[in-house]
Amino acid sequence: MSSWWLTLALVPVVVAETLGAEKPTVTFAREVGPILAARCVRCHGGESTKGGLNLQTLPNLLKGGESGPALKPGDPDQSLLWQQVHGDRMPTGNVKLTATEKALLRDWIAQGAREGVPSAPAAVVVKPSGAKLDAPALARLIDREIQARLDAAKVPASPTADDSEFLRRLYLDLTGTIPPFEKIAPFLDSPDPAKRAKLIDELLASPAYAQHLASLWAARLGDNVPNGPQTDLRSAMGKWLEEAFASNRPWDRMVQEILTATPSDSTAAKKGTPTDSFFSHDSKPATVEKPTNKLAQYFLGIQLQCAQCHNHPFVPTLKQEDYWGLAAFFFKMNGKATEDPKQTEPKAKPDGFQAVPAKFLGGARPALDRQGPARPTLAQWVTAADNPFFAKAMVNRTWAHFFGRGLVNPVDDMRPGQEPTHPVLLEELACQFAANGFDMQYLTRAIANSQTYQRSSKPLAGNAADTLLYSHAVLRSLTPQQLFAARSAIARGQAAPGDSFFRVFDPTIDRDPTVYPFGMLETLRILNAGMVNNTTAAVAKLVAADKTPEQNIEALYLSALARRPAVEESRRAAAFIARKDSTAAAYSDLLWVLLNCAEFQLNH
Amino acid sequence: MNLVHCSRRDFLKASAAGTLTGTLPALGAGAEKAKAKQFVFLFMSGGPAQLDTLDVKDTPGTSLTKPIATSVPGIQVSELLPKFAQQVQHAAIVRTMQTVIPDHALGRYYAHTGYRAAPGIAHPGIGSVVVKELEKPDAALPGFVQVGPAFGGVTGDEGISRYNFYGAGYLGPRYQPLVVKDAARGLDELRPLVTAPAFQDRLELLEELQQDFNASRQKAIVREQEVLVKRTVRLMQSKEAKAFDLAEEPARVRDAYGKTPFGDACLLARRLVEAGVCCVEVGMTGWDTHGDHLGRHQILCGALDPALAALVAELKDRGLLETTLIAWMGEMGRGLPGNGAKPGTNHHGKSGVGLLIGGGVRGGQVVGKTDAKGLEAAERPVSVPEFHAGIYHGLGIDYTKEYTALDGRPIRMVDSKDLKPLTEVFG
Repeated sequence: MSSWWLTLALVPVVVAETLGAEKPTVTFAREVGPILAARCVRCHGGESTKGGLNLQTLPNLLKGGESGPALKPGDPDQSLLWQQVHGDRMPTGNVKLTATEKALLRDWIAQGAREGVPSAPAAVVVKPSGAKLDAPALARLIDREIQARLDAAKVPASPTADDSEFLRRLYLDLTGTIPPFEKIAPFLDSPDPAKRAKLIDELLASPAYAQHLASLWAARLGDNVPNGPQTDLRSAMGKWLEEAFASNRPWDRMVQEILTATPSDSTAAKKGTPTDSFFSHDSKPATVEKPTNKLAQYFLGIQLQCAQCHNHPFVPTLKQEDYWGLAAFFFKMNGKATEDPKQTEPKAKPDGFQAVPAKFLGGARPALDRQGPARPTLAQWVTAADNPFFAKAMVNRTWAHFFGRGLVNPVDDMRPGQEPTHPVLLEELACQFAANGFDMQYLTRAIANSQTYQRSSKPLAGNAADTLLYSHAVLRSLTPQQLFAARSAIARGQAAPGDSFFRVFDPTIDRDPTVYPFGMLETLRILNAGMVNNTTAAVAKLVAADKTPEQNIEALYLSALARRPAVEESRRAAAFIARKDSTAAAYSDLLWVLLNCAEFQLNH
Repeated sequence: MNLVHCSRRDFLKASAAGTLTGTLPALGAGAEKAKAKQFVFLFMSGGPAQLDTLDVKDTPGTSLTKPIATSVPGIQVSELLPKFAQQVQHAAIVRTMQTVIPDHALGRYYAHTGYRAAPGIAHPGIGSVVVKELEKPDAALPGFVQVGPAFGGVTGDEGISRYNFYGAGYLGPRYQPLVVKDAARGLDELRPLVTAPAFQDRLELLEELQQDFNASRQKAIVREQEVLVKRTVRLMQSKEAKAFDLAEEPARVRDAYGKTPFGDACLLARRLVEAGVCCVEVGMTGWDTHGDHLGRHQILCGALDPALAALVAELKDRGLLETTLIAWMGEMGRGLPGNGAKPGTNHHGKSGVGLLIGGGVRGGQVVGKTDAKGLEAAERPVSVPEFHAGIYHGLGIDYTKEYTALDGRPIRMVDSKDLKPLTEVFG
């Protein structure tokens, strides 16, 4: 409880930092650049510069395009940019700037259109925290930070989700599937005020949680095309991850173990350690690019692969040399005493490639023991508490797991110019994650217990357009894996091997969940595949002849949507069932409908 | 979804060029003349041997088969293609295709996208580009159907990796092909699990019960789900969906196509073209003949020859050949046969073969010439982007167009470095 009090001491400082004086200084680097990048640069940026206008940098804005300068610093009304944007003449698509974004833009021009200093990646260091917070305290910190931005933008927050919405969302996020039928009514009917926090703890301790996380991370770190949990968890990497998440092994230790694993040697019978698929590709030892890219993307939150072939186009400080400096740690991958000349160079040498000594990203060249393996040194640097990328990358990715977008988005593109929507919150989360020993369940517990996470997805009139401030829960498409698990839980057909379900689905992992991902081929499978539409068996289990139609309808609603039907819905369903000749077939029809509506296919 | 924009820049550039030379921009003129509206892409996975298909040589140690005369005097093809030999008056044979990359996965990527595989970006395959440019939004059938064994990306597993490899790439799922793995079986899951009237009842109940939730959450993702279900149901219930059912064809027609999986797939392609599908890709595997090159090529060409000839003949009979462009290629050519009783051949990226048939192509011509061993281009090498540009040209698509990838970077439809588009075969 002591740290609960510490929060109170800490929070005012944090809030003050965010709100600052009446009008905080808006800068191009921090606020305006990201807005323009998200909304305008698709047409006005890079080489695609409509009207000759490039909105990627401040000098280019001042230079303007065919219609003259885009800006008159200090005078929004005389600035072409503001004139175009405030009446929604631009952007031309359906997505206009939000009121918040417009306000920021106007303030920025009025304040003189200041550049601000973009932070170099190496300069962003997790601040040592004044106080270590427990999970409930961190949950409150999240809520205060989020609320502060909402207040500043005068955007109202939607009310707390009802128990059904919360229950279904939590199960999907923590276990990858919908709640089992027998758990639903008891949870909805429980009067316990602490039942949500208790459910969070219960699910974190369940095998399903470890399996869900292991399946996600096996797809990211291993070398298989994701095929659903059945396949992913059968791999050595999957089993190892499942055990690690079940025992809540600290994230820094997991990463150390992965980076220092012994890859299997293709020439010898020697088997590698369970996580060796981090270093392989289709069961063959990979070139060094694979582990280098995975390390950057998943442990450091950076898309480094651009720098593989040329200097990074968006990050001036990232040179090709930085890429190959990091990759150099993997050259002696098989732990050989002397460097194998074949392994000191990548298979396909890009233009401009030169072998460089091992070097930390944005950091120093360590002194390496020429005889020993280089990876332990790398692992130490990656997971060090003062590594500027490590903790942030994981808290940002975990945040995105629950909210559909990172505080920096995309989550693996954390670089200058991609500024966080809530910088103080990101700093604090990273700092507390590190201070609490990189404890994944701690971080998850804090997020899941926050009011921010537990908001309804039903928007209010005043917040429907908000996509950045967390005023209401975002609608996310179920992944193919979640969809299969959820449908299987209710209507699994016989015999069909689970893997075959996934053949028509896009195997890309970590897609933007706010974009509907399925096309006609996938939809045919969802609507018509017997393996996930076995409503007959489900109806036989859920519907009883000695119950009223209303009771049976309720059972089907609970099973598919984790909620009771509204009165009107129940009436419509009952009327449908009364119309049909066969009652069993009619219930089957109803269940099919509940399985194929947007409410089922979305996490809301 | 508004994922891709074409820049005005190229259009302006093209106009400017036109003004300077005092003529219309060549592209605009080409687009007006283009006859082809539909596209069939026949892809030979594994790498067919140029020396035993379309570029037979008499140099000892090169071709294992003999040349035969064709319907066009002066043009010869391998004896393994007797039926196609009678259709050469409709075809332009490319003998100097520069597939460049002697690796299957990377080569297939290149042959489909015209770009070398690179980290961090998925280029769209030619089929997805064609559909994006030509598809009618109100069509009942999907714009792009892929038939036959899929040879997706690095895993080689059916279809799994196609998204990352030459599917729609950054164009997005809208332009992803609908896949029919086995033409004889038709499209999986095209039929509902219950009778048509019962399915109609289900749809009406769905309409009724989804209202409240969907109205309370008016977001794009909800609308997209609804629209996808509607489009899919429309396909299921359309008359055109019958196009997927080969059982409607008389046995003698299936026999003419060879009654092989590839033959069935080509027959399905013809049915889909008739039904108005914009782009059909048909795949055939097995051309990687490292062992028993001759025996394997006899079997492979035995399936290819009747199917290709029947497809051309039937489209011609139906008056569809003028408006349908057929392209044929693999991801590489093959080297010279080794020694031993049943010699094999290895990968060869420096020269392969390709075909363009119908769709406004001036038939009965050969593009390019190779050296005496059929391994290097001696005249008019045709790069994969040049071959693609020719296809786009034939379909009236402005191949100089620029797209924007998901990360905002501009990318040309066709990689245009030193491009000599294969447009000379048309008209």
